[in-house]
Order: sequence, then C-alpha cells, then structure tokens
Amino acid sequence: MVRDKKIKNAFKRSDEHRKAKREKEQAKLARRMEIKKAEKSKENGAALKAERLAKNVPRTLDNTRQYDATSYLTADPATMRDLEEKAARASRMINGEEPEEDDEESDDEDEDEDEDEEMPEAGPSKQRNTQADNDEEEGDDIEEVEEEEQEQEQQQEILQDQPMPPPKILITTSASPCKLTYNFCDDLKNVFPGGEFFKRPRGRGYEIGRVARWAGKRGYGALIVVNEDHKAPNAITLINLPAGPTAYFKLSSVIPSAQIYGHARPSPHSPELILNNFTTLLGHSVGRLFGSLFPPQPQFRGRQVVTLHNQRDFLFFRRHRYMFTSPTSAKLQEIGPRFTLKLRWLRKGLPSVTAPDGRAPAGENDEEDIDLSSDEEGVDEAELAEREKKDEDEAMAEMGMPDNQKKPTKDTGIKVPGLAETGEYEWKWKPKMEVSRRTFFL
Amino acid sequence: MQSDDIIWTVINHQFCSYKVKTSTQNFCRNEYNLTGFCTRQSCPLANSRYATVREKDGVLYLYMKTIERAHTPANMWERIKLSNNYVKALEQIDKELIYWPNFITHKCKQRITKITQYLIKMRRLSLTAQPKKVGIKKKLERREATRERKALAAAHLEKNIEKELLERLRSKAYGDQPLNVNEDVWRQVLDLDRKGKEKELELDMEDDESLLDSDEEREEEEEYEGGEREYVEDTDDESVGDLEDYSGSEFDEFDSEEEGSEGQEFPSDLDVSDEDGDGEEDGGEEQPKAKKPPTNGSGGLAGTKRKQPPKGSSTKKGARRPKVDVEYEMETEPLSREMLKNW
Repeated sequence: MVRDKKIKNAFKRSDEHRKAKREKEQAKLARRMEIKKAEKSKENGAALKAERLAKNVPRTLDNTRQYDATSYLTADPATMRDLEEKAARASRMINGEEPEEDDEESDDEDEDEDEDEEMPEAGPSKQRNTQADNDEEEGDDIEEVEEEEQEQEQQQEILQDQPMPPPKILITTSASPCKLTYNFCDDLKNVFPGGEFFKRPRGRGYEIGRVARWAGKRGYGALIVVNEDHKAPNAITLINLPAGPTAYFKLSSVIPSAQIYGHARPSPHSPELILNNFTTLLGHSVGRLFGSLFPPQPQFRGRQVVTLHNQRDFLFFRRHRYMFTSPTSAKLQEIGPRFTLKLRWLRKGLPSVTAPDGRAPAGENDEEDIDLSSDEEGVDEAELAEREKKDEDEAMAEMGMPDNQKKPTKDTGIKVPGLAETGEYEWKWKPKMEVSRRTFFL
Repeated sequence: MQSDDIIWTVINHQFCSYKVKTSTQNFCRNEYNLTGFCTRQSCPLANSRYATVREKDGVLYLYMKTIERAHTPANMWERIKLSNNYVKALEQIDKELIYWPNFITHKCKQRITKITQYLIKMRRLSLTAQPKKVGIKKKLERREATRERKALAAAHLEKNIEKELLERLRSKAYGDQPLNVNEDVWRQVLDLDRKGKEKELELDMEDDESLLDSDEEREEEEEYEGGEREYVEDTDDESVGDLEDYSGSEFDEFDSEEEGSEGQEFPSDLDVSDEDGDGEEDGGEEQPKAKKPPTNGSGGLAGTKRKQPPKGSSTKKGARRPKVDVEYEMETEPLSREMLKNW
C-alpha cells in the first residue's frame, strides 16, 4: 500500500494535526463521561466503579517489588514459606510420619495474617527471644503453637495489666556534638520511657565497645549512639544489650517537635507501637529490635502511638497522640520528633574495641597465648570474664597497686562478651546493590 | 667554582623553582631547607656548607653538605642516623655540627624538638579510636534524598496509622473496656460488631438480592435521620461535644491538622456565600449536592455509612459556617421610573 504521504504544506499539516489531536481528546473525554455517568447511576454504579478500579491497579514500585534472592534474610517471604513447607514435608516423609494436610492450610492463614503489615505489640527482646529463636526449618506445628501462646500471653497481659519496668536505654552521641544533636537526643530521651542521656567524652576508655559493655553490665536494654557530622545528627547506632545485634542507620530529615506546627505535648505514658510494612526476615529483625526498646505493655490511657513505617527501605518514625472520634475515624496530633532511618548494616554481637592499627586493646595482650594453649574450639564467656579479670589484676600489679581480689562492682550475673570480640555482618548495604529500582531489602 | 653569592643573586632576583611567593612571606619548597623560608641563610642551594634534620618513618636523620663534595651531586648529602632518645639526639647534633655556624645548629635542634613532638602526638592519637572518615558521594546522596521523598509520598503515613489504630479498635485488641476510647464511640463499635454478626447470620439464610434491599433501606433511614443509630462523619461539633474529657487546646490544634472530607466541604460553603445575584436559590440547592460527591468519593458501602444528612449538617454547622444568603422572589415586579410616573 501507499504509505500515508506527509502533507507538504506546513500550515495545512499543522492544522490537520491539531484537528486530529482535538478529535482524539474529545473522543476520550466522551468515553470518560459515559463511564462517569454509568458509575453515577444507582443500580450498578458502585459495582462498576469497583470493577474498574480493580482492573486498573496502577503499577507502583511497591506493587512490582523484586526481592533480593541472594540472602535468606532479604528473600521473598512467600518463597521462604514454600521452602519451609517442602522441607518440613520432606523431613516428615523421611521420618515416616503421616503428612498432616489440615495444619498446612491453617498455617498459611496464620502466616498471612502475620505478614500483613502488622507486628505483634511491643515486647522486649528478652521476652521474645525464646519464641523468636525457632529454627526456620522446624515443622509448621511449632510455629502455630507458639503463635497461640503469644496471643494468650498478650491477652493475659492486657487483662492483668502488670506494669513491667521499661527497658533502660542509654542515649549518647559521638564526641563533641553540636546543639542540634543535643536537642535531638533530648527528644529521643522523651520518646523512650526508659531513656537516659549521657554526654560522651573523647579519648580512650570511651569507645563505643567499652560503653556498650559497661551499659550491658549495668543492666541497660539498649544503647543508642547518635553520630554527628557537619553539625547535624546524621546516623544512629542502635546496640541491643547485653550481647545483642548492632544496627547502624543513616538518619535524615530530622524535625524536632518544636518545628512541627500544632504539635502535641508528650506525656510520660508508654506508647503503643505500630511497625508497618516489614516483610522480609531482615525487616522483621529490625522491627523487633525497635520494639524491644519500648516497654512491653503500653499504657493505653496515654493514647500515644509510635510508628515505624517501612516504605522502600526507609523507616519513617512518627509519634502521635490519637483519639477515636467514631468507629470509622481517628484523629492524630503529632508529638515529638520526626525522622527517617535507612539501615546500613546489621551485625551480630557488640562492637569490638581495637586500636585503629589493629592491635588488641590494652590489658588483653595475654589472650592470644591463652587461646593457643586452650583445647576448646569455642571460647566460653565465663572464661573470657576470668581472663579479663586476670589481665586487669596483672595490669594493676604492673602499675604497683595492690590486687583487687574482690571487684567493687557487684556481680549482676549479666554475661557480656569480651572486648575484642566482634560479630560478623548479618547484612551490609553496598552502593552496588542499588542497581534495580524495585529491589528493597526490608 | 662554587660561588654562593652569585647563586643567591640569581635565585633571589631572577628565578628559583623552589620559591613560593606570598604577600607577606617567601617560602622555599626544597626538601632540605632547614626553616622553610626563602632566605639567604637557609637556602640549601646558595649555601655550600649546610645541614638539616629530616624524619623518615619515625626515625630522625641529620643531613650534612660540605664544599668538598659540591662537585659530586650524587654523594653531596651525608646522612647520619640520630638516636631515638631526644637528649642523646641533641648531643649528637652538638658533636657533629661542632664549629658550624650557630644558626644551623640552633635550627637543627629546633627541628629535632618539633619532629619528636609531633611523632609523640601521632603515636598517642593512633591509640585512641578515631572516627572513620567516609567520603561524601554527591550522586548517592542526591539519589537517596529523592527516593526518600518519593517513599514518603507513597507511604501515606497518617492514613496508614489511622487504619491500623481503627483495626486494633475493631479487633478488640484493647480489651473489653478500653481506656483510650470515648464511651459513645466504644458503644458504636460494639453495635457495629453486633450488626456485623447479625448480617453474617442473615447472609447465611437469605439471598444476595435481599442484602441489597437492606442496604437501600439503611440509606433511606439515614436520610430521614431516623432511629437511634446515626452514622455521622467526624465533624467539628462532634469533637466539641467530646471536649469534656479533653483539654481545649488540643482541639484547636486538631482543627489545623484535619484532612479528608471535612476539608472538602468548607470551600463549597464559602463559594456559595460569596455568590451574588441570580444563583442564590440555586446556590442553596447546590450546597447539599456539593456535599454528596465528596463523600461518595470514598466509595462503596463505607461511604454511604459515613454520608451525612444534609439538613442536619446545615443546622449544626450554622453557627460556625458562613451564612447562605437566600433571595426571596417577590410576587410583584419592582417599580420602575415610568411606572411610578404613571401610577
């Protein structure tokens, strides 16, 4: 066929183009008006509209998310579940048990509810460790039972309303911070019911590792170090004590409560917790970390809610005071600081204390010799504590002071890992991971 | 032959590649320079007998240059390792540079002092934990800032928080007598719950068509403001009614932050009151119509439950809202001039 010839006259051509465009637009408008009229009609209107909306779901980054399959921590929870079920079924077949099909279906439902953007209410890691430590490859039965137990516990807590002391949290900064950072730390202190702020001196003996172990022995639940750069807070290191994981977040968009227009005044009640949108295993562990900072039983009388909402790997922190005006609406008034976090890395254990040139910290030089002669592969924490004590005594003897046979601090029975021990990285963000726009890890 | 004066005049007045000129000072970039300034006494090129102290990897060395070796540039500088002990190093200087001009020995000793001081400082600093310095990558920062902004927009935080709280309320997560809910609202929640259960029972027994009928009936009931149950939107007045328990200041701030259907209704009212001329009656009629579309927009059954009876709203909000001027149509025409003349 003859290809449509281009109209050589520019004026005529542009006229034709304009007319064609207008016709197209009019046709589209007519179509949309018809749809609108149809949907306004009383009979099918709502149904038609619902159908149209269901069909035309816009494609968003969150809809088309691709999970990072390289590690089980960031993998798609659906595939993880499938793998689990397969493994459980396989193990049951191997053991000669009968496959229980009913349980699998109910388990799916339970796990769907769990995954559905909702975390159970706040609880410290101590309480949850026993339940959360289940291996992922165990049978589904155990998970179901434990979920029931959790619900029962929660109900009991609600009914009995026993006030547990809030976990103590030590908030500190990097050395020599500026005013903004101090204000932010004050705000943080108000956020957590057990929050305490200490200034951090520069110099030896106040490294993060040492501070963390000191706080662990003193019974703190967590350590928060606010890092400062260019006269503004830019990162938060969250360390769960006594031997818990360390998380490092990049901090951005810090808005103190004073700058929020119409902000509410916080009250000393412990807040409710909302942890939204944590899907992967990594996300769950981060959410639990955060949940362990708050007292397990919120005081509903205070009507405060703290939200950590995960959207595309950014954790948005908000603190509101709420009120139910009707069964279908609630009003929120924002208290407190507003900031966003982005997880950079997650590590097991506490940060180690080593001099930058790689040498072991002072007082632990004998440890290497002792390690060579020991027969065990693992190092007991009790042994470490003994060695530390021995080293300290030796150091004291060198300095010419008498040995302190009895330590002045009372033995609280809290085991804290040694100074030079580091955990390995559970997860670390690297810029090369940012290749795909649709990959999120939390 | 070596003539220091000639070398100096050339270097000073014409060109020296080691010379750095500033407004107040002239510096010498030569590594063997004793003081760092470009002066006659401290120029290593213009002095055939010269000595310096330099440090390499924490060890101090004394470099000496004499006229006898001026013709062999490869062996010109004699290097002597100085003792690590500061006092011994000074003594060594005295011994090696005996009979040398005072300027050079004095400056060498000063250099030794300064170098040992900064070496001590370096060693002490390396023991403390220094903050790790990470470069700022502008592209990454910019990218993350943009993504954060978009994520915030996609998060719909307040909506999600509200949704979550309401779910907790409905699912009785707060127990049987919750402390954080108003009594009336809690009663409504319980009623809704009961109604939901009844509806489920009805569903089991009846068809789908009857369901639709019951919905329509409910709609009609609402329009007539009948019955004990009203599904009313969150209005200013309702919140005012609840004010007994809560302090007033909270609610001034609530108003400033409210969003949603209430915000949509305000402008329609204001527009109507500002209209002049013909459309007053029409404006009065438009008002209830204008209210319906925004509430219908919330869609489905939930929207109809929240729909507010228009008559009730206008009487409740009359106190606060701008008043609507209604023009009354007169039965007789207004008199014109000619009609007056012909009266």
